[in-house]
Amino acid sequence: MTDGTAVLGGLDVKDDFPIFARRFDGRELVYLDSGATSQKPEVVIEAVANHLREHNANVHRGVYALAQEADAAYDGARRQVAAFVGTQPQTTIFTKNVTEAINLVAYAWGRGKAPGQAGAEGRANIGPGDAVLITQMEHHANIVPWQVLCRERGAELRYLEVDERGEVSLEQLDRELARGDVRLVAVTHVSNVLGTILPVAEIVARARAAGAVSLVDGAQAVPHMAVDVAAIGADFYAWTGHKALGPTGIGVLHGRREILESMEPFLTGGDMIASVDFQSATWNELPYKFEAGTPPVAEAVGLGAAVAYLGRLGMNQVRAHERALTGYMLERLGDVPGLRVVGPPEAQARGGLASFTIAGMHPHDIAELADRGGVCIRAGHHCAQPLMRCLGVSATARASIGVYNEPADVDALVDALLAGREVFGL
Amino acid sequence: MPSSMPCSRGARCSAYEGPTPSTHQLLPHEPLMDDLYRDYILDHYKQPRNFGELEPHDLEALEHNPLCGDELGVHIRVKDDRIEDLRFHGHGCAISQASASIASEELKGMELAEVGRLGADWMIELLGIPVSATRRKCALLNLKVVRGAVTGDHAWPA
Repeated sequence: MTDGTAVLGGLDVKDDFPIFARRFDGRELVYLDSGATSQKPEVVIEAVANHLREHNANVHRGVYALAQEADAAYDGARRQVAAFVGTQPQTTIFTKNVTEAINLVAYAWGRGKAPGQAGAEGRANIGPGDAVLITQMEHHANIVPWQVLCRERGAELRYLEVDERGEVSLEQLDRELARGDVRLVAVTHVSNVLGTILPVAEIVARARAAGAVSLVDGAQAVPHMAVDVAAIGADFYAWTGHKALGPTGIGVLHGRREILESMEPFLTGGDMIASVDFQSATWNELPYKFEAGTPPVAEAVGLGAAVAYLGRLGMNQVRAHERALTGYMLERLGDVPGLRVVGPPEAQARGGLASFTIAGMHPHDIAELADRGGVCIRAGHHCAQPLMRCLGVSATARASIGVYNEPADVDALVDALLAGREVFGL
Repeated sequence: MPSSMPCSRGARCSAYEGPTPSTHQLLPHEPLMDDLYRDYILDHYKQPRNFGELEPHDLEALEHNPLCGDELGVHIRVKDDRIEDLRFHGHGCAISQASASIASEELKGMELAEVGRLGADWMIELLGIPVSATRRKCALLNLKVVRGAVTGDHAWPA
């Protein structure tokens, strides 16, 4: 049996990614760091190059044919991206990355006024006595903007605890919401450290029932599983292009239309205005109100090509492939003495990654020694220092997979870890 | 059908019965000579010298490596403008722990003025291994913390 991948819904697409033709000291690239950024298929590289070569002009201003091509390419990418996650282009805002998307919400919504409230000024969305509720497993991008906002507004930042399985408790969520002060619930969809898949639709529904706005950080979810933003129902859903086979420099924020319309802009300047006089300006319609300045056009085109590619693979196929490979990785990591995986033990409860420690070896040394075996993994706090403290470690090593990975990559990792233990005399 | 995922490209796994290709794996029992993780580095890592608390102490500092969240602190006792004794505490990788351990033996007895003049080259030469750009801060964290305690300059050693 040399190729049984189809039996388990596996994918065999490594050849679509030109970087895997590279050799490092004669060795193949074993890339297990897709949680940090994904590799890019030829169709994405070509889409970006072709746009720059054939269709480059600034968008939204030119009347000439070339500018109209650029407009069509940019708007077409937005339609593709919105459709990929089951939502509308008008409420799909291109940002730089997830960090910018969350900051957009923290500034433009968090510091703004709620509409339809009594009094001319309305009520601040986040003010003294209010609370923002997040989880202990958030990336710094979904912690620090709320810390800054809460400190500025005299609000409280509270956390849902992560249990020993790497999950949060809906009962604790209910208790927090019952206190009546939670104005925003912001959670990750898939933890970048634990791999935990959170029940985001359930969390969002409970937040809404309690009158709280919701935000989901989908950076580690959208590239790896079918995500339906409308079905999840979050008021804000953010994700990023470079983890989803697309270029760097383009992120996505989906927002609920009524809320986006009620918000003041985040960044101001060109492109986001309807008209400007010497003392004031009026704002452009959605989504342009939130896209000040020349946007990342070629990057958007590249992301459009990326989601088209993922769509052709089929996100259920992608998930099945990665789940099977994650199960295989968890099983094989058990062959390494002293290795402890953090997060949910079952592959079906986690995204395609495993964070681990090895007794007697610091994660930095683990990653360095994995590289000796030609294997790219990450080590450190993964921008989640509060979670590291909960886990009682300063850092972990993390192997994360993408559509192009295969069982041989996992075998190479395990071989490199075993060889690394020998270097350390373990 | 095994529960694990069959391989599409070979290498050893439970579902694969063909020959084992040798494209990118180290053989598990191949003797290993490692440029970075030399015996003395691992010795200092596993049995770090001058680690722990030093009470009472005259100077102290605590620094973090932002790359990995590692932390390293130092307690220093001063006599006649020299480091009479010192202890490091904290946690980090083999490179950062071994660097601190090796440096501690050199720093004992050193004049404070000389500590202030120590640069990155001093530490890298003392360490005696090729340190890549990404691991440089691991090697220099101890010097950063010691210089911080002695001079108040918390910049990374240049």
